[in-house]
Amino acid sequence: MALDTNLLSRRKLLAAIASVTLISASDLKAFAQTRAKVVVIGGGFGGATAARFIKSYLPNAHVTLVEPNPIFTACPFSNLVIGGQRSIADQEFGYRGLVGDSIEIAQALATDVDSQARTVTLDNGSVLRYDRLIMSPGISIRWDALEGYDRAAAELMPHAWKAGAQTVLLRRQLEAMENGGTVVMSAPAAPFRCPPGPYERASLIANYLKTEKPASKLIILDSKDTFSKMPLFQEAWAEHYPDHLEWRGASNDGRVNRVAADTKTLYTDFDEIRADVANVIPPQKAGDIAERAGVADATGWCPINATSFESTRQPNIHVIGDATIANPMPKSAFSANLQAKVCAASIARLLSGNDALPTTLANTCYSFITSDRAVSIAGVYRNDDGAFSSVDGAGGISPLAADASIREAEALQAEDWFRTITSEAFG
Amino acid sequence: MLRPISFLIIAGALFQSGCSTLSVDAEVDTRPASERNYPNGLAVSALSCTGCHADTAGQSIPSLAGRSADQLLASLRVYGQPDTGTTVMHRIARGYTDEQLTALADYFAEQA
Repeated sequence: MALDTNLLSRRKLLAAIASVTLISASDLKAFAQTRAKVVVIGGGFGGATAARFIKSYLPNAHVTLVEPNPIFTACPFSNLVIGGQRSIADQEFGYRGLVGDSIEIAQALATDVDSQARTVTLDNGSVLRYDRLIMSPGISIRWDALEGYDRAAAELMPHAWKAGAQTVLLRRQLEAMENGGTVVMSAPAAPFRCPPGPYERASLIANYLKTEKPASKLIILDSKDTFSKMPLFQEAWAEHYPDHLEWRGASNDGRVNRVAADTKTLYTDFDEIRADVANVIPPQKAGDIAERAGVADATGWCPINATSFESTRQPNIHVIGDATIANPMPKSAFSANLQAKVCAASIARLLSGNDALPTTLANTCYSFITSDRAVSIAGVYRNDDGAFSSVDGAGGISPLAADASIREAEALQAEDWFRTITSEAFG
Repeated sequence: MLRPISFLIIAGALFQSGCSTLSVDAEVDTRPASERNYPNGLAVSALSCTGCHADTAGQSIPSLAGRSADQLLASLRVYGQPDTGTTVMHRIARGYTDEQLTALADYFAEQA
C-alpha cells in the first residue's frame, strides 16, 4: 500500500497505527526498537558471540553476521597444532549453531561502511542497513611495517598469526626441517594480538625440537625487553629447554628491522640471522574494514567508550575484540568473547531505552609451556565512565616455582576453557 | 526525533505485516520492562564467569548454575583470601567485594 509519510506527523502516524492495532504507543515504540536491525562484521570469538547474545537478548531483532569464510579457524590452541599435539581440524568451527539461532549469515566480505546512511556494503554487491553495527574485525597485518615482509614473503616465512593455512604451513616447515636446523621467530612490539602467544608458541616449538630434532634450536628475536608472563616462561625455558631455546630482547639487539624471504634471513641493527624455518610475527593493526568505516584512529586501532563499546569516532557503531584500544584488557579471545556479551547487553539496553551499565570484567589467558603443562594470567577490570581500569589487588600470573601438578591442572583448565568459549561463540 | 529514513522503515515494517494486526500483536513484547529479556546489572557482571564455567561441568572447571548459594559463596570467599592459591580464581575473586560475590552466588544458584 502507498503511504505518503511526509504528509503525516510522527505522532499522528503512531496514533493511527495504535488505534487500528489496539496497542499503545509505548508498546509500539518498544516493538520498533526490539525489531531493530543489528549487523555484525566478523565471525570470530567476538562477532559470533555478539550475534548470538544480541539474538538471545532481543529475540525479535534481525541479526546478520557478515563473514566471508564458511569455517572459522581458532587461534587459541593453534600453537598446539604447530607443536604437533593437535590437528587443525580441532580448531575449526562452522556457523550452523548461529543459523539455528535464526541469525542470518551473509557469507561475504564487508567492503564499506557508511555511518551516516547506516549501511554496510558487501563484496557481492548487497547493502545491509542497520540500526546498530557491531564490528569485530580482528587484526590485519601491517604489510608496510617490516621491510621485506609482504604477502609473498609470508608464504616462505609464515606469520601464522591468523590461524588456518598459515598455521599448517609453519607446522609443515618444522616437520620438513632437518635435525640440526635453526628456527627463528621474530616477535613484534606491543600492541599485538595475544600478548603471551609468541612465547607459548616458542615453548611448544622448543618442545618439538627437543623431542624430535634435538640438534636443532629456536632463537626468538624480540622487539621488546619484557613480555606477558615473562617470569613464568623464563622459568619454564630454563627448566625444559635450556639447549633448545634462546631469547634475545630489544636491548640485546633483538629487534628485527628487515627480512629477506628468499634467503630466510632476518636482520637486526647489528646482526643477520639465517633461518631454516622462520616465523615472522609482524606488526598489526585493526582489521581493514575498521579504517574504511572510520572507527580506527592514527594508531591503526579503534578507540571506544568502554561502557557501551560504541566507537568514539562514529555513532551507532560498536567495536569489540582485538581491534579495540581496550588496555588494560588484553587482545585475547577471552576478552573478545566477554566484550561481545557485554556489548550485546549494552545494545539491548540502549535499544530498549535504557543506558549501558558499567560492570566488572575479567580476563583469563592460559599458555602451554609443554604439551601437558600450562600457566595463566588473569585480570579484573571496571568499565566505569567509558574507560577501562584494572581493579587493584586482583589479577596476576600463576605462582612461580610451582609443582608440576599445578601446571598440569592449569593445562586441564585451559582445555575446559577452550571448549566452553567455543561453545558460547559457535553453539 | 526519528530521521525520515527510519520513519519510513518503521512505517514500512508495520504496514508490511498488513494493516492486519495479528502478526504485530504476536511480536510486541507486552511484558513489563523489568521482565524483558535484556539483562540487568547483575546478569551483566555474571557474563565474566560463563566464559570458563559452562552449564555442564568440564573435566576440571565446575559448572555454577543451580549450585547452592551458600556453597558458591563459601568457595568464592576462600578464593578471595589474600593468601596464595594456585588457580586463576584466587586472582580473580580478589577483584570483587563481598557484596558482589554474594550477589553472584545468588544469581548462579537461581540459574537451574
